[in-house]
Amino acid sequence: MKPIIQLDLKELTFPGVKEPALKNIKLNINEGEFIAITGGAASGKSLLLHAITSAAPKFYPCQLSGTVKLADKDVSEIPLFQMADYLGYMMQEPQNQMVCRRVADELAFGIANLNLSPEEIRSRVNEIMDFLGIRAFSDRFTDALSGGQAQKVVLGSILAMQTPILLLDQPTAELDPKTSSELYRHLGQLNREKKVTILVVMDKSGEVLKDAHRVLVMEAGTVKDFLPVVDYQKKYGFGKNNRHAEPIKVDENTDVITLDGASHTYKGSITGCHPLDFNLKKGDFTAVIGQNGSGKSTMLKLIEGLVKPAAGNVELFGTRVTKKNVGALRRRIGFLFQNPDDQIFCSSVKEEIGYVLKNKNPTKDLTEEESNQKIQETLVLIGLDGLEEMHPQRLSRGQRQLLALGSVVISDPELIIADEPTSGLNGPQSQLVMEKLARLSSQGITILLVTHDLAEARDFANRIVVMHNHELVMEFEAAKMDNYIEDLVRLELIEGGDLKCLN
Amino acid sequence: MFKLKDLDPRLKLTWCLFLVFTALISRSIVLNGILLGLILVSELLSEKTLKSFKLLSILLLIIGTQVLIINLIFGREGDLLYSWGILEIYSGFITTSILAFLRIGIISLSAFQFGIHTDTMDMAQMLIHWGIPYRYAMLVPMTARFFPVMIGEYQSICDSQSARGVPCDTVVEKLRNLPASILPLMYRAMRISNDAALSVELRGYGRYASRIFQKKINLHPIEGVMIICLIMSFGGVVIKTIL
Repeated sequence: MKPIIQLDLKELTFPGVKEPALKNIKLNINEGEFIAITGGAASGKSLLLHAITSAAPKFYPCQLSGTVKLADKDVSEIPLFQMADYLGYMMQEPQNQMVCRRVADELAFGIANLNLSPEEIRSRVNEIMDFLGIRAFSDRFTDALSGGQAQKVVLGSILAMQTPILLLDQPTAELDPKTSSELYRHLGQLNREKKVTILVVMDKSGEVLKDAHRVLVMEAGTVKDFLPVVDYQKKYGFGKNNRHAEPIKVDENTDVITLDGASHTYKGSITGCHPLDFNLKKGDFTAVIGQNGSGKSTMLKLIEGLVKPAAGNVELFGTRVTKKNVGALRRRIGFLFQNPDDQIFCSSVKEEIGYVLKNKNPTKDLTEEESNQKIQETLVLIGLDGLEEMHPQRLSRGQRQLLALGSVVISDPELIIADEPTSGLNGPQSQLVMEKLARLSSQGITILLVTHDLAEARDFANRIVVMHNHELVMEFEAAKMDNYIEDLVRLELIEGGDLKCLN
Repeated sequence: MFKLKDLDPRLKLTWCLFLVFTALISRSIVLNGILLGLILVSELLSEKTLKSFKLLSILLLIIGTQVLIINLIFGREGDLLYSWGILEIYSGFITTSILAFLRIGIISLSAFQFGIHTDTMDMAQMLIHWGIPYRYAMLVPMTARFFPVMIGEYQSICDSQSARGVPCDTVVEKLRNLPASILPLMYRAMRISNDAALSVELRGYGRYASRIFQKKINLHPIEGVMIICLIMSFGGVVIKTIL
């Protein structure tokens, strides 16, 4: 087969940094191949895609020695705006890449830049809308789209350009299992039917392996392995979760969270969640699962006191949440958000972790020495020791999530609420974050985890609750998940009975 | 059926400018009242409701009340009606307040009407028709998309900070903890604009001197006539005011 991407990268170095971010990468990718890319935090996966698009060094200034060729043409000779002849690139956060207010305009954005005839533009947009099943929201505002819809629109805008190569950086990071399966099904279809060459930075589910031909394993900025999928699976396994911490001990007599018929409706009569009855005991590790838009985030907001219940009550640690006491109650809770960038703002890792100590009462009496020691212990716990002085924005997404976890655990919370803490992380990174949570859980800390990853929920939690259409519809012991597979398929949490995600 | 959204952006802009400048030039309460009425009627004819003006109308009432109070205290037009110490109330304060209120109402409602009923892509095309290169004209729709995204980002940052113990609920708390919300917002803004810039470039933005729009703007002859009529009417108002 003819190679369509030829990489011979000797070194890629950013200004002011001694260590090259990419080094000694020599490989060929053939026309029509489907490649999955994996690797640990800051291993250079996204940067490799940037180098292929020539965004590094043209857009992100850096020193690059070596060559990258697309269809035998050196990318350094191709202007960025001409790369659309060769490839389409979908980056990590789809909402960042949309520039038009309406979905139809966004889908047509790229092809309109190529000066195709209006008829051709219309025909391609219609074709893509049908292919991705997004015709229903073609006239919607792009800022009102859910994560899954946004992913599809950005993908559609790229697919409409009919490029021979597609580069996708964790395209399913924010998607529920069903939408994620759908997306991979579309990609597989494109690869088989239209012979599009696809490179995907894979997420922790590894679902892309169903369609991929080879797996590129990156480590410390270079290629560690480049294997056929079967060999990769033999060598690295399926990345099955294993809980190594002590068992969970639940104190059945102490309530930590109680939702008593609590509901919420957003402005414009948009349902957040219907009345919820939910109870979380001390020491519990409960996972909340559900599709995008099922009401999980609203439930968390109710618990956090970020939205008021339209009806019913919310109690934390046996106390009804009111405007007056919400601040004091929050100090006993650690929140780990899906997007670490929403909370990171200090100029060094050390400062960011230490910032929380200033805002939490129990640790106010710590001396500077004690504070520093606590910060150091936390850095070791999350595996970021040695990076104390680094600016948080220079860390990879996975490292930023670990930093956010560090800033949560440093204040010794009694309850940790984690909203999809492993989204956007790969298998080993997710395992690391989940292991930390499991260890905290075995120390008696109550954990409420929201996740799309059913295997993660089964392996780390002791109880699973399912949200569907803004309601809590099921609750069962995590270890007995296999008995509820049919229900999970019915609730579209596993697509078409595909149980591979659980194996 | 008449729909403001379907009109050519050049006609809508002329209508908006006509209203704004006429309101500024004319001192006639009747004419200003008619203009305000025209805005409301055109909105009603097009949308069958004035719902979109609700929030702005509340703001206008608040501003109107302030204008009334200021004129009541400081207005010196007309006859002296009442005097108590340094406080003097003149008969002209009501007409001055009404005129000011009408002008503010016309300016804000007409600009708002133009904004909500003009597609940003149409605005970009209008600028391209005036000779502005499309790379710059397209900044209008891009900016229009950026604002709601950044508002959403700011809200989620505030929620996140508030949940981790940095209060961001009241205005005072927001000001006191500004770095905790503004710095992440700036990082997010830079990341978003960076990603968006790379994304458009890789989708061929700026490759050719022109680009195609799915829905082209087209000035119908009747719309052209209406533009001329509006310009002539404005000329009439100017002449009448001078004379």
